[in-house]
Amino acid sequence: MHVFHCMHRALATIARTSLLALFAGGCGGGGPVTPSPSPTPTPPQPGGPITGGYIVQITPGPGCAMSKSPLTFAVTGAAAGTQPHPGVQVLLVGNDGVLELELLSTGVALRGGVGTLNDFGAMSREGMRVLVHGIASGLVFGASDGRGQITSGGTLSGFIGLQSPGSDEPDLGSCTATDHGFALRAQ
Amino acid sequence: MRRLSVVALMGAAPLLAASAAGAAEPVHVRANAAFAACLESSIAAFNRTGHQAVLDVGDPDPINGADLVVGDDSEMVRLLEGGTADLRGAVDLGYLPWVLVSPGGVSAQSMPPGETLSVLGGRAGTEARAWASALGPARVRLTRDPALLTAARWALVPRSLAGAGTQRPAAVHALVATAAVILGSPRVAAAREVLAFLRGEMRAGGLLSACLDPAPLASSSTPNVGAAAFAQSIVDWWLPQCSLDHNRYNDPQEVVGAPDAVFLGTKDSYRGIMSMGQGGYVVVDMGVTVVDGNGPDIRVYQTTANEPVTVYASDNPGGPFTLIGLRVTCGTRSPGRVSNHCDFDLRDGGLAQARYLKIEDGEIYPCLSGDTLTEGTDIDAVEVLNQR
Repeated sequence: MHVFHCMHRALATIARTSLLALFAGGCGGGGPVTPSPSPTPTPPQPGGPITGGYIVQITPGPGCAMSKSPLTFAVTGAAAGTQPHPGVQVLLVGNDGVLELELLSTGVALRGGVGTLNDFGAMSREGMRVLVHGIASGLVFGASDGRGQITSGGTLSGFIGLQSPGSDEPDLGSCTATDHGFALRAQ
Repeated sequence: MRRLSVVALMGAAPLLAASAAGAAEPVHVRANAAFAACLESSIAAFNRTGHQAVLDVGDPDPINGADLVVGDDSEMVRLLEGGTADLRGAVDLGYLPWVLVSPGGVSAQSMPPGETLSVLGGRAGTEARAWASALGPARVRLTRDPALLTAARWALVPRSLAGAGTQRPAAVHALVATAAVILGSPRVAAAREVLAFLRGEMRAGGLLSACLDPAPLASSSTPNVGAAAFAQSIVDWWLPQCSLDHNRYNDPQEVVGAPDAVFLGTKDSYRGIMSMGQGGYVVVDMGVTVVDGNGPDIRVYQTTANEPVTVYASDNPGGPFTLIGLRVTCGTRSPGRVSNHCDFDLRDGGLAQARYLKIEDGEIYPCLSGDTLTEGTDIDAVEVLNQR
């Protein structure tokens, strides 16, 4: 796997770097070249499959009159359908009917619905009952294991409500906005 | 749940027995607190005619043994769509506007520190809750208790639950009192008698008409320029695989052309709609340029209750698309048509014109938990109201 990553990086860089310098970058080329101080971190590559365990993070938008602490959920993702566009389904671990994401995948971006059951919501890892009905979107970049993830810049457009235990109302605040934060981090 | 003290006359039993099995039980009418406040006198009047009905106060869904439910669109959508309640026989009894109650008619934004605004909770209060959310959770009390709502100094409530303070109209859409018989009820025939009585009360200016308003005058759907223009062709669409697997109406071509939705009389039985599933969308070419003119520029016809719709617009088929309206409740009645509708204004997205519209599900209900073949917003047609 390392070899393929290294080759890919090399090919991507070849247009702007001499071949000599390229192989001096720690890909096993060896040879008498100018010493390099340390390898530069590889920027994440666009795209990557959504599969396995993830953490969904939703952060109420800056204009919302409610707690803006991030709300996180342990989920699993898998490819779901190819027509008319490829899709991804992401479900809450242990209670998959309560929080469901159905996302269109372009390979380098995800976009689609994030929904919880009416009146019940989904329990976040922070112990909050959360109601969500919105459209999430974000650019996908490869995690260290090659899977895709959204770590920054993702947004959720729609409704978020917070509900205290035992309540059947979003009594801890609710907000409809286009700039809630959204992330889908590989675990 | 609170049960109002509307008790049947004992002499009514033989009449009821003639109309339905399970005659020993009165007809149970279930309504949220706002509508119950309107219905109480009418149910009492119904019982004085020799019938037997009781009024249960609570959210109509779940039905909890009710034979007839009266609820707002937001409460009725799953009952009607799922076939629990009789969609074909459902009747809009009337409209119940929201009011802001405050000392001296002061706006909620001027509410003094330490005061809280009481707002009707439940699904019927969804839009009011959104309106009040800007105040922050510490300043809003959500409740379905009519006693608390009518006693509140500051309240955002349907007019029937307004207390002693000064009332001013609130910028929240009126609740629609839709009544429908529960199809599995052992007292279907008797429930239909109650429904007919309530309908008659509204028509004849009876007690119910003193509490509910009649339907507002229908807004014109006549385009301002040229002939009516509806979506001409499909540019793109997407439904999640889960929705494709579970829903029945997945053909985007159903969105093209004039509204033609038909309810065929049994659960999940329609013609002429596309159900958008969980977060699905369809991009349509309107065939003309939609322009920002006077009033709304776009009308979306949506078939069941007031399921919300999101609309984006662009000059190019591939976008980028600009948001015009986010999760807009789509339940304005369209006289003479099966579908309801909702309107959109290009100005809300800062656009002067557009030709391509992206219509997206706004319900965003988890697909795997759906129990109908029509999950998601059900789109019938898209119309241009201002065109060039």
